[in-house]
Amino acid sequence: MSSISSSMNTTLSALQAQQAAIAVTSNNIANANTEGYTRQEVVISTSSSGTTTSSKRIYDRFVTNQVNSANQNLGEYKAKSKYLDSIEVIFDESEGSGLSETMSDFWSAWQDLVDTPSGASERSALASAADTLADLFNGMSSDLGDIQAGIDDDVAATVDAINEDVRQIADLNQKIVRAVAAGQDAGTYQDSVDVLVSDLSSLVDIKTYTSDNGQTCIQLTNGTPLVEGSTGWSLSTQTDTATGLRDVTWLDSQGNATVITDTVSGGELGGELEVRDGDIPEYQDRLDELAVSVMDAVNALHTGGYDLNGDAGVSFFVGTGAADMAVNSAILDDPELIAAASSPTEASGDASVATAIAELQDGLLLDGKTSTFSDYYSSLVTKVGTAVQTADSLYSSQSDAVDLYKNLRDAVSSVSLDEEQTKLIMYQNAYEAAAKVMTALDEILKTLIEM
Amino acid sequence: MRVTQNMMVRNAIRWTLKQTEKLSDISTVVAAGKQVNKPSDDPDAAGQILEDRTAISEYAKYIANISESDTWIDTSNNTLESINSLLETAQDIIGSDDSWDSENTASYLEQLESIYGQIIDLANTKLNSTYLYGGDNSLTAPFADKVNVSGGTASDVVFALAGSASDVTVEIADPTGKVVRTLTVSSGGNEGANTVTWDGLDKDGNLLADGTYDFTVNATDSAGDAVAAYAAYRGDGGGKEILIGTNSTAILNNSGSIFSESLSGLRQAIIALKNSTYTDDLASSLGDSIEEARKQITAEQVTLANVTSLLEISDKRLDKLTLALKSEVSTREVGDTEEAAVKLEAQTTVHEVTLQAVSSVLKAPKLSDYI
Repeated sequence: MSSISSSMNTTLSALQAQQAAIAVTSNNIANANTEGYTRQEVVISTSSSGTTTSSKRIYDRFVTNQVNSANQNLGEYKAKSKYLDSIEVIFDESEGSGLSETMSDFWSAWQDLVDTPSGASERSALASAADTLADLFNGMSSDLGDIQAGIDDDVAATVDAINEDVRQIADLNQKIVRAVAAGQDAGTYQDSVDVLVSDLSSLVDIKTYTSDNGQTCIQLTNGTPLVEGSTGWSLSTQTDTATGLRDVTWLDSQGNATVITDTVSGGELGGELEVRDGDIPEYQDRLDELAVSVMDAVNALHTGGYDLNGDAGVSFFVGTGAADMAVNSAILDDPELIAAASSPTEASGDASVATAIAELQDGLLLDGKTSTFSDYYSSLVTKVGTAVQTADSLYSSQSDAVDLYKNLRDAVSSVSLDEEQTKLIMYQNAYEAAAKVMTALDEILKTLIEM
Repeated sequence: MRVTQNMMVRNAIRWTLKQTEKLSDISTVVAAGKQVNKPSDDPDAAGQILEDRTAISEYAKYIANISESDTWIDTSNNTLESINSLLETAQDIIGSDDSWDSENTASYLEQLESIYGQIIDLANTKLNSTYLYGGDNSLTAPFADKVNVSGGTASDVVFALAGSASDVTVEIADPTGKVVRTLTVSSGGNEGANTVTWDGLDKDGNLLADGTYDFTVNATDSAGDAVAAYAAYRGDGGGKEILIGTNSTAILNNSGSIFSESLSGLRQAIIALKNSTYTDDLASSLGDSIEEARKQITAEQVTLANVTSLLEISDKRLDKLTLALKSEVSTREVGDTEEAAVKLEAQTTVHEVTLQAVSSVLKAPKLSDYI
């Protein structure tokens, strides 16, 4: 038969247990809106001396990993969509003031020269139309270059952000081991690691696993370690002398750098590298090819012609690509040097060369002699438009997917206020009941003493 | 599934953002009046629109070329018509056998002389500071008995003869009409164009000042009869060409050599009537050769009429193509505005409903309300 004092001890344990349960519940309510918070559930169990409580994190490794891996794609698409949107502005022809129209103006100016081969105003109009065209090529090329340089700076910033996450995760890993060793609750640390891993996965493609002692270990998807236990490795950047752009490197414990640019494929860093090293150089190349074809075709005919003074034509354009395309300064200074005639003796009235140059606009000179300049440029605009469209729609659908996975995770781990409220009342009732038991025991004890 | 406040709020935010984005997209379409506002709206259509626009501006340029050539063709037509009627007048004068007596001869010859001068002026018609009938030498007057001294160097003396001549002299006169030099061409001259070089010196061996000097040619054949000398064509065979379509050009007019026969005929008539007694036979033979010259002018007028109708056809064709392309661009770019307006209406409703749903989520009763 149990004694009164043992009943009192049991009741005390009940009071303590309900108090502890209320503490957990209030912690849950307090963190209802904390990003990445994993709710805790009170486990009340019987023991020889009444009840004991413990709490456990309600956590699903699988759905958390789903969120992280979806985050990698989201980061990548977000970066791509952001940069491609700004590239699209360069190729925006909707106002009718872009390269396409400027090229048309250039060819029209040649036709005006055909009408009046010796006209001074037609000649200066042509020189200035050509100058505008060259300026536009220069501008588009340098705009692309500016965006590329901007992305390059972002690469450095992203690498810094990755390093910061890695450092914090390694720190937290150490705290987790100490807490576990001291028998303390490591839940808060685990939650912080989860938030950091989620952020890190949006920055770069990683894979994670949890070691036996509860530490989160992280590798890049190519197997390069970032965090192992409490050790973290840094990434860094170094300028590639060939391209002038930053390479991403991994530093080993001695600080030796290994270039890993090509193996990064996801997250914001992956998206940045993809646009910087893939899309932009491709557009640059196409713009260059267009500029060079225009220059070559015009120059070939022009140098075969004769100017107003009966002298052989000089190069009309100079330069090696879209970036440095320019009208020969001699022609800008003296438009009489424009060679419209096919023979030195007919320099004033013949316009055969000007006619041939004006007809270049319909010449099939690109894409293996299947496209005109206009076709080629239109297909470049279509290409950019398609890339933007794809990136935007991937970003949008991936945002939905991430929300969906987050909901799956939250279905398990996030706090429901109604649920906590219900439990709170349950614990409160139990506490009241236990308190009443204690009062009863106290009266029983008094009765006993007064006997 | 366990649903928490977090999830409801996340969903609510996602719905709101999505519907707002859609609303913004559709209102952009309605406000801008265009379906395709940037390449990514519809990449294929954007590329196609660009190509169509290029073609439209190309056609517009061809149409402009054609309309600009109107002035050229009108001027040409007027020139040819005037020359033709001048030649007709010359024929009338030559054919009026009753009046060719000693009293009238001088005045008739003067009239023919004046017609010759007017035809030269007409053949030298200028448009936009270039000579209509100079071929590719568009900056040099195609017909002129003139020679230049420039920088101490004289240009060649170029003239034409109606037949071969054994004695040819060229008198060069300064702007006041004073003869400054007489060149005797020892080799004589051939039928057609002749070129004589001149050193630019006057009869005393002094270099003449830079400027333009008139010259007169006198030629006689071996029988001592005068040979008609007239202004040689100094242009070349080039014609006026314009672009009227993709790799297609139209030639607006031929070179000024078509006037040589008229000038030659007139000059011969003047010389013949000056030096011979007027007979009906002579008059009719001189009239015939001018008739021949007129045929050439008429032929050129016909050619010009053909070119004009070719240009009209091209113009109409280009107009039709432009219209077709413009409507294609407008279909692709603008789309159906009514459809867009209906979509906007529908989206506004969807947006409202979404906001109502969100507000009911946010206002959803909580357990704490009842405790």
